[in-house]
Formats: sequence, structure tokens, C-alpha cells
Amino acid sequence: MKFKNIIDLMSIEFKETYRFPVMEALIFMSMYFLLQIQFDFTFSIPSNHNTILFLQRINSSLERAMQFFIFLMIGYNFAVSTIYIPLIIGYRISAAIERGEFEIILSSSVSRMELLASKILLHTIVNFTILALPLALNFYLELSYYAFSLINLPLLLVSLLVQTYYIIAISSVISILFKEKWILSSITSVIFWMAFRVLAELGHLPDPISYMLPPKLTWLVLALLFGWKRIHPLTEPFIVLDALQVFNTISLSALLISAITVISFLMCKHMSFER
Amino acid sequence: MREVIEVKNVTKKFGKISALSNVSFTFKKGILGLIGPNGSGKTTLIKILMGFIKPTIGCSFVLGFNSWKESSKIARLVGYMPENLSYPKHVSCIDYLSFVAKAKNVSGVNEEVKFWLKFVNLYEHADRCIGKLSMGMRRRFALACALIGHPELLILDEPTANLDINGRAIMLEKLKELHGAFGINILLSSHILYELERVCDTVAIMSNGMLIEYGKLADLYEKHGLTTKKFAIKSAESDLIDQLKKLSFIDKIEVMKNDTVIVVTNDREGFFEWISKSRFKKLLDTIHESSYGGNLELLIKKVLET
Repeated sequence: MKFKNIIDLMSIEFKETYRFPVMEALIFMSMYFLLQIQFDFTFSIPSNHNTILFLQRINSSLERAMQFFIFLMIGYNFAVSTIYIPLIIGYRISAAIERGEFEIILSSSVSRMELLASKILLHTIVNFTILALPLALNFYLELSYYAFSLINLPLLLVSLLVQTYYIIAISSVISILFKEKWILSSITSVIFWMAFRVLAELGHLPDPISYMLPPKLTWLVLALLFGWKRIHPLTEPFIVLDALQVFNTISLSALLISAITVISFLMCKHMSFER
Repeated sequence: MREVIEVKNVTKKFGKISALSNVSFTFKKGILGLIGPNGSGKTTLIKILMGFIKPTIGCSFVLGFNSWKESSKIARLVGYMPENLSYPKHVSCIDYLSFVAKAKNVSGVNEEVKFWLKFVNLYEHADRCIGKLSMGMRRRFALACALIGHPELLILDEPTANLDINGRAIMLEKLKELHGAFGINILLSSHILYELERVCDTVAIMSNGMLIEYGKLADLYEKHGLTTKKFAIKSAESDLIDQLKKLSFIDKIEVMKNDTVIVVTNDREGFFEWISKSRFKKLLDTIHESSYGGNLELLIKKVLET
């Protein structure tokens, strides 16, 4: 696998797909504004009685309007980040197979693994930027109550990497199984994505983050690398460094990483473009 | 000498549908035309040769490499031009060709890209985005992509699809030049028979996923009795022309200015039998015989009928 080929492929796809990233810009803006308004806003009350009554009326109307706006923004944000991202990635991947783009790329002496790696990396980087940049902006501009922690970034990155992998894998496989049914492929990838999230929320499944690198393992690695106290001063290190937990975490991670690697290899090796 | 393409008992099934049934042939060199109606399995065979899809039964070799198991080696030595030109629209021609050249480990990327851009007459459009090229230009760009790295074999799926007459003529000239001047072997599929007749020396006729005829075009014409013979007889006798006109196996009679009668027929034996028994026997020594190719359309009709 040549890293240079992966970078070149990413660069070409970046120029092609993200030339005018309107939807990506909208997601970024919605994330940013959502973080701005998600705080418990209060108004300072002036001393004059008439003014108080007047302002209280305005205040309650304004509050209702703001709450409605927040509700809309949360809904919109949920819709774009939960439906749009998997839908668009699923669509792009399966449509690329069906239009013959993959065949053209593969005939240029690029391996299937390089192709898959470039897709996963590019989509992960783009989505990570969209979701992490508002957090970083809020942190540096000190605009909201959301504390920006160093720990958020690796977790977000790993989560996105795993989820993007699932979307690409699922949509590719479905696209191959059901010939020229990219709509079915895209919808199914979204259903899978939603199902994972809902099951994780309900506690039936661990959070998608845990599928590849559980947060506790990330904490453990960071603790070992930088010293736990410096990163997370409020938590006792023994919770993380509990021997049984560490063993479980590492073995589960190793198992999942191996399984994903094997699936990825088999998928790339036997991916057939039956169009 | 290794075979350019070797297909051994290849069968490909999509569910219950059999796209290819027990196809076998060996192509040594030259220009091979893949002929057949829609759904006859031409594109499936091309995709199997390129290693994009796996045959259900059998195997194929391109330049000595197994198509499915060694597809990366094949991609380095073979130029492929698909029917659907799904190239990135917002990337410039030169950038995309440079990417292909780098992926194929070509030394002197810039020279290679410029050379093939000039060859397909697109050098002036090198910085234009692929999406802004006309259909004819896009086909030529796809040809340049396939030619990067001086491949030993070109595989072209419907190279003249959606092109006007001028575009087709340019494409066919380029293909002839590639084989003649650069020695590149070519496999092309097309519906347009006169194009294949112009450029191919070998044909593979497919129908319903089966290879029903394969061989050198001249041999196939001969085999199916489609080679037309032309006889030039040095004689000014008007009676000869009258007698010839009465014969059913004579297709055409033409009298030239220099007292030469040109007779065109498919039945060589019949013609000589008649003339040796007639009073024009003495003219046998003056007859000059030549032959020219048959008609591909007739050949396909005959092959499909049988």
C-alpha cells in the first residue's frame, strides 16, 4: 500500500467533492451557533418598576422565541449530523461504484486497499473538522459554558473514524449485493447508523466509540503518556488503571480491531464491481 | 512468445442469469474486435480481463498474469478505457494524467503526460477541467489516460460511443497509429461493424454470453465463403460480356477502357469451371486473379444463422 497514492487520491477527491462544500459549511455553522445559544441566558433587571414589567414581558416572549429557536437548531443539527453525513457518504461511495469511478481508479494501478483507505481518511478528516472546529472556536473565544477538553478530540476522531468505516463498508457491500440500488444502499446505511446510535443510547450496545478504541483505553494511553493528573486532575487514576478493566478494554479493543481489519481485507480483496 | 490474452472456459453468472458461458480463446497479437449485440457479454468479459469481477468458473490471463489474482500487475501493463467516462469533473486534464502516471510509477511524469496529450491533440487543453471537455475530447482524454506508461495492451470498451462521424474517424485513426507505430495490441468492443472492419485483424463474435466465432477476419471470410474474388480478363469480345451476364454466380461485370473485363464473384471454382469449358478457354492465361475482404455484416449474419 503506497501512502503517496492515498494522499493523491484524497487530493483529487477533495478538489472534486469539496469544491463548494455548501452542506458541510451549513453543518459547521449550525454546530457553531448551537454551541453559542446552548447556555442558560439571563437578563439583568433594571430598577425602574415600569421598565421591569415591560422588560419581563419582552423577556418572556424573547425567552420563548429563543427556546423555540434552540429547539429548531437542535433538531436541524441532529438531522444534518445524524442523517446528512451518513447519507451523503453512503451515496457518494455507492454512486462512485455504480458510475464506474472505482473501475477507472483501479485501472490506474491503485490498489483496492489504497482506494478504501483514501475514502475513509478523507471523510473522517472532513467530518472531524466540521464537528471539532466549533468546539475549538468556542474554547478559544470563551463563548459558551462548554468546556473544551483535550480528551474530546481523540475521542471524536476515533468515533468518526469507526462510524465512517461502518458507513463506507455497509454502503459498499449493499451496493454490490443489490446492483444499481444506490438509494437502497444509502438508506440502509443511515438505518444502520441510526440503529447503532439508538441501541447505544438505550444501553443495549456500547457506544460506537467503544467498537475500536474505547474511551477508557484512550484515557489509559493518555495517562501513561502524559500523566493522568495533568490531564484529568479530578478523577482518581486507580479507576482507569484497574487491572481487570484494563485487561477487558485491551482484549476487547484488540478483538474488534482484528475483526475490522479482517473484514476490511476480505471486503477489499473480494469486492466485485458487477455492473 | 506469451499470449496477450488467454481465456480458459470462463463462465460468469449473476444470480440465475448466465452472462458468459464457457468462453475460451487465445489472442496472440494485433487488434481484436469484440462483436455482439447488447447483453452478449462483451463488457462482462472485459471486466473479467481487467480483474474487476471474478469469473464463476474458469480463468483468464492477460500478458501472462491471472486477471483476478494479479490484477494490480495487469493495471500497470494494460491501458483501460471504459464506456462510461466517470472521471472527476473539476480536476484538470494534466493533474489527473499526472496522478495516473505517478500511480503507475512512470519515470519522467511531465514528459509522459505531455507526449500523450499531444498524441490525442489535447495539449492546448491541458489545464482545462475534465468536466469542461466536449464528448469527443473526453474520449481522447480517456485514451490518453489509458496510454500513460506505454501499455502493452489497450482494452477499449465502446471507444466511439456518443461520438460524431468526425470524432469516430479521429479515434479510429489514432488506434491504427497506436498499433502500427507503437506496436500496442488492442482489444476493442463496438456495435459499429464498419469501424471494426476498418481496424481489426481478428474478431470474436459473441451472442447470449457465448463465443460463437473467433479468428482472423480474412480466415473467417474464407471459412464462410465470403471472400470476394476479382478477375481481370484481357479481352474485348462483346460476346464474352453477354455470356458472363447470363451466369447467376457473377456479382458484377465491369468493362475497363484498356479492353479489360473485371468480373466479381464469390464462386471462384464455378467461374473457372465455366470458362475452361467454354470457347473462351484460351483466355485462361490472361486472367489476373485478386481477392478482397468480405462483408463483416454478412459474416455476422451467417454466423448467427448457423
